[in-house]
Amino acid sequence: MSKSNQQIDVGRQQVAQVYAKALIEAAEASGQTDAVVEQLDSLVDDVLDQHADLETLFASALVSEEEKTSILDRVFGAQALPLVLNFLKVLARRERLDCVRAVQQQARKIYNEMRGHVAVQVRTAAPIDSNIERLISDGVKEELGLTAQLETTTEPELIGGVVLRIGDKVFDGSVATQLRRARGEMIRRSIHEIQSGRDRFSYPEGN
Amino acid sequence: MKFKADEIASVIQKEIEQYQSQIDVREVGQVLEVGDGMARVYGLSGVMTGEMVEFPSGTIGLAFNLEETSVGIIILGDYLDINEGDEVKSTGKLLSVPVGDALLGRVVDGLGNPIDGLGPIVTDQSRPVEVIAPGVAERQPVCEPMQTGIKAVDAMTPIGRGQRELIIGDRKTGKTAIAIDAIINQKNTGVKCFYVAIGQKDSTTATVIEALRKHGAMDYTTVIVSGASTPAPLQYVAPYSGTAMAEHFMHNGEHALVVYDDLTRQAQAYRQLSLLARRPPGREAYPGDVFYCHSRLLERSSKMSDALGGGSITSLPIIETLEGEVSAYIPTNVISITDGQIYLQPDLFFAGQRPAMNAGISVSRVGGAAQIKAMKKVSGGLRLDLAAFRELEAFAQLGTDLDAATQSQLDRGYRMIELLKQGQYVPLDVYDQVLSIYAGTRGHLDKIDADRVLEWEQDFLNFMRDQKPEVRKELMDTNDLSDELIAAIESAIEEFQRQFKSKGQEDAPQEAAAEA
Repeated sequence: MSKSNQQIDVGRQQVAQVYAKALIEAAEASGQTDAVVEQLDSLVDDVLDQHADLETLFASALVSEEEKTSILDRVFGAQALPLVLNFLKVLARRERLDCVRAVQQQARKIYNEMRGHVAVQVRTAAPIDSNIERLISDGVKEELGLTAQLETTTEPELIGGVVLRIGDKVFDGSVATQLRRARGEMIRRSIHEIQSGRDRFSYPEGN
Repeated sequence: MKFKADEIASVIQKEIEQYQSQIDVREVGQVLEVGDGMARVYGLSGVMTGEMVEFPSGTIGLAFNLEETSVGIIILGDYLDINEGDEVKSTGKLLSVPVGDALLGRVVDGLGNPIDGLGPIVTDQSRPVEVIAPGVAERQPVCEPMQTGIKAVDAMTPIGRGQRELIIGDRKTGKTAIAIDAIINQKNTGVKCFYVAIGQKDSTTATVIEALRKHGAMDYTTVIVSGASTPAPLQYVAPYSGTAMAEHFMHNGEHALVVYDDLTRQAQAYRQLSLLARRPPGREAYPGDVFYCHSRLLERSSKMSDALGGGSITSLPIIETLEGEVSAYIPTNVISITDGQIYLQPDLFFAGQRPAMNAGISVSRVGGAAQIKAMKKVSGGLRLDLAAFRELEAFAQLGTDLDAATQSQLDRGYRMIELLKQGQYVPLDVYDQVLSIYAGTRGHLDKIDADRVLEWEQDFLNFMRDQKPEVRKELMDTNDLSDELIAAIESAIEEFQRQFKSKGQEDAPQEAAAEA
């Protein structure tokens, strides 16, 4: 049913939220929020996703804090912003390097909220073109006053229509759901019909 | 049965025309973990406590625990179909059950789904399972009797319509039997009965249903079953569902009787849920709000004011004690909530006194107001006399010589004890009860052998019904014992005593002959 195969670790998310908030505030103070968030994204997308070993190493308790710090220096020292590098070192010192992914998600969320962006998951039966995407974005802008960042997926089992998910809210205009609802309504109403005349559907001489 | 295809098509077409397409807006969450009837869900940020949620398998759940980062859901149904990562959607509705006449005679589960194989329950009415009990302005004091048909109960701990009378005792002391007799006795009174079986063995429940059916009581009874094998969440909601079904009748100005068999199991189910939801355990590991769990349930039994139709719900909660321990947590809670208790004791039960009610510590706090006048007159002081007799009996066992007054008090007591014995499934009409208790308390049985008391009573009641119908009719019309009526009863008893005596003499030679 759910699209995300990631496990949700509520405890880790809570920790990550604290770190993400601190990072964004520090970045805001130095006026390089956009760059910091972007670099954090690329850290996850371009580094951790490509090199799973690195993530294992980050999470490992066998590697000492000093080693992790020096690895961070050697790997990212040349490219990373000083703020991001320092942040990673703080995580290393607090033994929270395993939360990097969660921190990135939370930082993205906080950043989006600050900038008035909102992540919208769009599910449709068939691939949609940019025209429809623009319509959806405009609709979200009008309703919520936020700029939509669309993530589109196709699910043929929806038959038609569109399902939008914004945060915990789902706006379901899919044909599949409507059919299901129509079925429920019909059953509900026909219970009434059965009660008002039980032999209505049968020939009187039947039974 | 054949269907008319064209007619069905036209109905469906009409349905489709009526169907308005709307965008389905809902809040969703994601299952983090699931097991033992509970699910923890991430998301559902706007869900309210007690709100119904739906799992993709169609199973419903109730938001039970709202935490900072997740929501604890109790799963009402099969939790084995639910997987980690499943999408849970909120429905914005409260749990409700079907109500109405269609439920009478049916056996349903804790959510009102039929489980007796008699087809769907066709009703378009439903009521929310959890509602706030009627307030003070909507009620009136208990004023009508709710006859159980059991002499000991109706005479000593009378129950009124709208009362909550606890039946408490160890296992196997006849708690359910009292409740079943009370249900059977509601035949032709218009009182609708609801028997809620919580955490019972299914075989026991089947026996109860069979007994009700055999005595024609299923016509006005609904049995709500949440057996021992159903998950704890369903055992927890079953009593509330049963009450909701009864409330339908109460709010329509009718009367209902609800039996909760038993609330100890419901408390245990609630304890299980609370511990799984990681609520802190308190005394006997029950959560802090287990009192509220029972009080809000039993508070819904009430007598509505005349302006609101005057309907009522009478409830007979049952509590099982361990080794007579009434000072355990749940028994004390429920004793303090209810308007009195019928206390059943194993030693009385095994001594042959059935119902094994201990008259000394059984009370009814409001029922006296609901007794008919005649019963009030004959049974006044009976309870205290019996309690005094029990003490005296213990004392007399020491073997000391007794004076005549004490001996006669003992003799009277032995006969009253005999008179209050009653078989199962034979509830007695209240006027018959008045007549036999009158005879007992006025000493007309003192000369009868204790082991012939029940025979005397049986014959006497037949005699009154067959040969003195005018006395019985007078009693039924006035509901009171006037001086003239008392005189008539006295003379009738005198006449009957002669008959009974001669019958005894007739029997004696026959027995002697048989022995020879």
